[in-house]
Amino acid sequence: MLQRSIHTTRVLKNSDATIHIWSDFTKRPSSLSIQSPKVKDYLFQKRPSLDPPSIRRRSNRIKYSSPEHIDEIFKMSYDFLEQRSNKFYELANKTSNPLKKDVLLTKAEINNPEVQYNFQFNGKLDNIKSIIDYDVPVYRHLGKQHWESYGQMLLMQRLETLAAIPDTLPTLVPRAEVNVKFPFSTGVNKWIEPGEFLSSSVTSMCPAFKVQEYDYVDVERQLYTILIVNPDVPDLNKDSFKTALCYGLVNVKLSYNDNLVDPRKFNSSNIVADYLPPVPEKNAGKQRFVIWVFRQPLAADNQNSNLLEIDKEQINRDDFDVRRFTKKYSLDPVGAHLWRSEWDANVAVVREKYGLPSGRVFSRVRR
Amino acid sequence: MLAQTFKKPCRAVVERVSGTTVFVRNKRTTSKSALSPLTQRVVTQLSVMSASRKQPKLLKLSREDLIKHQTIERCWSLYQQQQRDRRNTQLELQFKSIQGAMSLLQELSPLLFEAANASEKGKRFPMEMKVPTDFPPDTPWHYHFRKS
Repeated sequence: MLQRSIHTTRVLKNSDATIHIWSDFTKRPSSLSIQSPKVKDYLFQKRPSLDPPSIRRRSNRIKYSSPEHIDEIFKMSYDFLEQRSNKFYELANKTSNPLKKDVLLTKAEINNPEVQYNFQFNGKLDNIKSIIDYDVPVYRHLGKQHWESYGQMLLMQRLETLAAIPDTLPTLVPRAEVNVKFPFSTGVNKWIEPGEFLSSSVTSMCPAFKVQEYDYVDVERQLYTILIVNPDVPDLNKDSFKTALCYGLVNVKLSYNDNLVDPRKFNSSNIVADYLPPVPEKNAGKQRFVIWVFRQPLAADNQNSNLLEIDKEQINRDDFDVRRFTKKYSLDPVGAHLWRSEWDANVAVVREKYGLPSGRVFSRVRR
Repeated sequence: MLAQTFKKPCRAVVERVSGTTVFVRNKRTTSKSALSPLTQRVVTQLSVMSASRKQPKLLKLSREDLIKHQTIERCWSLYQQQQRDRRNTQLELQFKSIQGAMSLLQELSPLLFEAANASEKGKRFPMEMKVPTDFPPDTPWHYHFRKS
């Protein structure tokens, strides 16, 4: 029931009496503040009649005039919200449950204009830790909202329409944002959109993954497994298709900010299956390469190591059963991504580079 | 230089006055658009009524002012929410207290309870009573009012 009704206006409490929690950076991380002093000065109007520093051209800056009385009302609103956040900080200090504490700390900072400025006008994917720090619960909350607004939906749509689920794993409850990039030397220096067609030269070197966790996880202990599977390898004997394992990494340690998984991040002990680049055979059609990211099970007590011991001999790369593998090691799928490849003129070069036999050529008529 | 600046108008007449060229702009003789004046008028009238005119203008704010604007909006919505909650809890308490009083009355004196709960069907709002308004009426008192 949202109705306008007559109410007496109450004078807000004198703001000088309250503690200025949002401007006190002795306990709070510095990423909760705007880094640029110019922007900060303008936001809080340290000097009257300042021009907005976000407008670059001087002529435009002179032309621009901000709405009337916005500063007075902003000051009042800021005090109101700051006072409110104070309450949440007090509650957060009392609680011991880390999940509840995260929620309270998010509530305490979500209305902070400095946090909103930092998040809205800075890179969310390639985040700079001093501006968007995903260790801070509020940025994780905002990041999750941002991901859910587009990226997550796009991923799920592509996984479903390209039938990556249920062809590889039955379904996915997306919890971690996965992004993929191939080395710049291959010519495509961008984050790959799920389901994109990539030429074999682009995919000739192993990709870098960025796995962004937004939930509360035990960062110190949690380890991850990353697999790339290709469910479209022709199986002539069964007149069907089989799944091949293209790449396998285990026991990868990630944190909220340092989460780019590239060869600098792991060593040979983490590699279960070396990277085999996509080399689709001629006329075999389009092949999907599905990336799965799993959370590994945590040991019951802190003393035991969480490391997964995987027998490389038992893994059949050519006919890989993802479902059995995940069940065997009780892996929890949290994120996925996929790209598609097709035979092109460069496949022979890639095959030669990796010492692979020359591929078959399929034809319409079975010989 | 002069010729360049006056290139745009539809028809410029060049007059030679004692050796210097002077441009004179006359009334527009050709319509700007290909439409006939009648059609153009209809188009103009329709565009005035079009949906794009009815939409509120997009606020053109600098980044910092946008953040200020959002902060103010959030503060206002939170403030209203607080007010709403306070009012609702008060109403709830009032209702509870009325209910308590009535149940007590029912215990103490069922007769009075019946009287208090007598049906008021058919009872209308008296015409002579003034409807509560935000502002005083233009004619505050009807001096010659007679109850019919």
